[in-house]
Amino acid sequence: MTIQPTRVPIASSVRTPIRVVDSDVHPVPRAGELAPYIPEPYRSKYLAEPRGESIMYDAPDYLYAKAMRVDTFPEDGNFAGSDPNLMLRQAIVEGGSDICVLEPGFATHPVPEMSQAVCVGMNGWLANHWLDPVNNWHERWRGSICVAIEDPPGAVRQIEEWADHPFMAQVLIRAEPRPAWGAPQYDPIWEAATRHDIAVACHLSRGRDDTMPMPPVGFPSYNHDFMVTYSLLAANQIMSLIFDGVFDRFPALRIILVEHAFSWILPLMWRMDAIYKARKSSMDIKRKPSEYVKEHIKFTTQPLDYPDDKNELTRLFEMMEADKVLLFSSDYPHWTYDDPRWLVKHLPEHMREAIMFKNGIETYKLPPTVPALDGKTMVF
Amino acid sequence: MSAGNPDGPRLPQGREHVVATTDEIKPGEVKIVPIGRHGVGVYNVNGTFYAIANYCPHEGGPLCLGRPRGRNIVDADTPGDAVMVRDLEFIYCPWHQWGFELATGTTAVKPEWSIRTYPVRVIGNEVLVTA
Repeated sequence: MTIQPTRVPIASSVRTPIRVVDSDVHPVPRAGELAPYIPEPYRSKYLAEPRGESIMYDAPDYLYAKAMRVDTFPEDGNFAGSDPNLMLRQAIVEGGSDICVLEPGFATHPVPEMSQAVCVGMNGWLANHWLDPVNNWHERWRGSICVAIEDPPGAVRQIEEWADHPFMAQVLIRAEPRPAWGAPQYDPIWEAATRHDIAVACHLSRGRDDTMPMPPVGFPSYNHDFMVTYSLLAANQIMSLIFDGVFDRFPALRIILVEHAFSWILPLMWRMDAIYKARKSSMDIKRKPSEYVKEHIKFTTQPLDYPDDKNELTRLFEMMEADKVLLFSSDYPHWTYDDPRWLVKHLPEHMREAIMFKNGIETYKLPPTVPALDGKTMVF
Repeated sequence: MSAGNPDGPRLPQGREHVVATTDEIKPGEVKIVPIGRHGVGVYNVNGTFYAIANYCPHEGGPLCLGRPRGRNIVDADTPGDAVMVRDLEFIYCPWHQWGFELATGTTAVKPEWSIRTYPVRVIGNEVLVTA
């Protein structure tokens, strides 16, 4: 019997400048692919758990589309986002992104060690099935070190294990666990991230019971209402980071809030600056809150919210200095996908390079170029 | 798909083309013909043929890769209080699920917008599209 070796395409020796960095792309394990990477005893426990549907209502035609672009489901019957080759074609060659930052989904389990075990599994899986030479021959995938923030020693162990991986670009946490990020118990995580000079990103999630993202007035009646409350969660975590002095303790810490929307940060900066001005004498923080935001925090462009007259957006971008705080994101393969060619039109011209790629290159420590791909869409 | 490939052979724009035979496109199916920048999707809706541009005005998605189906209306007498009517007469974009009526190109999502529709004639067993 002859064994056919896997054919890996050879990357072009011609390199092309990075013009689009996509900060929010979701890979999904194929059926059975993740389990071997989850350590025991959690593997048996995790897999033995009954799994229910936590989305009560969402995208149109949800039972068919599963809140995904329907053309992103591979033909082998696995879920959207499970085939690296299909994603390469749709998100990069046709869509036009040059770098995709991959953010696997993981939910906060009520048992911290269980959450961490799933993160351990995700990291091993991502490294072997996406960031390996066979699947990342084109050098365009970047990974996230998934960590359960509610288990700080375990989170630090994951950062230590993966921070030096050539294609791991950020640490990925969740915002649901309590207390807020300003609590000193998380300091070892911020310390490890800053020591390795790696940014910490947070993406929307939903755990269960007490680890669902809880709005201040309790749970809303509908899922669409629930989706809007994610911005409140992000706003609370930003206030905690600033007023509890995390950025004073870790001046090199960089935070990325993915998919939490961003237009609300402008009035929040005004509010925090006003409180700071009035109550400065009783505060320990050293600078205006808006300065911490602009130096330490990035937001992603999807979902893009806008007034009826989209031209008014330009004023918002100018007022919030969007070129300092935004990173482009598409949310592929979700049904909320933003095509970079559509998104870039909304940005003031002098901010386009910063938001589409320069901030991304700086945030994720990317090289300026990647191997060229035949027929790839040029976004702008 | 050839229509999605900008480097593939294109048909000249602005004239009538024989694009298929009538038995080539079954009810509920589409054939994407390489006319224009994005291609033209030719549909068989329960025996009547329609043609639309393979381009969604919302964010530019490949409209004709979406699913043709009906639209849902409220019906308090059915489980779930909704029922699908006029099956296959609407196309739903694969990206964000905007729906358009194939016969008219109109959408309920944003009524002031519509998609490009093209005249179709059937002569004998041939389907002709002017696009």
